[in-house]
Amino acid sequence: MLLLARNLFLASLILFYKSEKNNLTFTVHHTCSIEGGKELVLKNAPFLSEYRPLEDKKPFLGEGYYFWEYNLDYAKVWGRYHYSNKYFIVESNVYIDHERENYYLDLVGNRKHLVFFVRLLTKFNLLNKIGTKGIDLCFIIDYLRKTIPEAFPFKVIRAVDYKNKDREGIKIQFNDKGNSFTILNPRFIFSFKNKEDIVYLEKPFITFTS
Amino acid sequence: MDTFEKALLALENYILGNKERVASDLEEMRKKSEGNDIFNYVESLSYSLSYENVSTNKEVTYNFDFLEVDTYSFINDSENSHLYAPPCIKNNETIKKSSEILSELFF
Repeated sequence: MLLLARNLFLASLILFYKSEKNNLTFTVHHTCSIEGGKELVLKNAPFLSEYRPLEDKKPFLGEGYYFWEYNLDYAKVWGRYHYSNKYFIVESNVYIDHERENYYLDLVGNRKHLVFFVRLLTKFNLLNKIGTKGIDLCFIIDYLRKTIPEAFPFKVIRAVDYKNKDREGIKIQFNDKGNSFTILNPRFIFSFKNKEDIVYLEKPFITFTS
Repeated sequence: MDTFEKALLALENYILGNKERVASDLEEMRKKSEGNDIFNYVESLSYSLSYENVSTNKEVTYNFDFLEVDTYSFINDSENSHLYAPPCIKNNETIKKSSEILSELFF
């Protein structure tokens, strides 16, 4: 009886999350090592990307649980290079409560969030002109989280991973006037600070084995 | 006050209250940082966000009587109207640079 009530509650929760008003849901992919086997991976994924600069472990957005947003192909590329081609890709649908206070910073598709983050960085120019010049983003995020958590309370960050190579990316011009174009295959990253911050709409499953 | 304003205020207070420490921390991070810094990105982003850099078409003021406005065809007289025409209407003689679409890059 209790189990039935719980399942009904979860089902209604999912329906609520999926309703039009709250439809910030994403299909995400997480690449991990094949070590330990499927059961261990299904039980424990996603795995923490640790922040240990001295060991050259510097995740892009600081320590956290990382996913590619709907990007099975790039998750495979990641597995090829980071797990010596021995990897699983775990897929799931997650829900982002964008209205929850201190929760979500979208550096991909929300100009208000981007403007905020730029303002945050330029606050360091109160000290001197140089401010955060020359400092990598992973250091800044880690510093803010550890030293001034009130200034960076966000549990989930979404960002674009651009590569410094011109030929990568499907660029398409809008029209023949000027140089405006858009990129049709950007790579979006999700970084969750804590595992408990991830709200799954379905149980993660292994979608690819190398 | 919303989350962002609170965060900005918290950072400002911390920086102003711990100037020497923050400056020293920044220096340490700068030394540890490798590769491309994001400052250039931030600089250009800030530049693009500033109001002065919002590019718009030159404003044109039409001085018509009310009745004329009702019948006047703005589209025909707008020299830029072709910018908004669907691609099929455009002159096919203009061959655009082809998109660099390579299937293996679609990730």
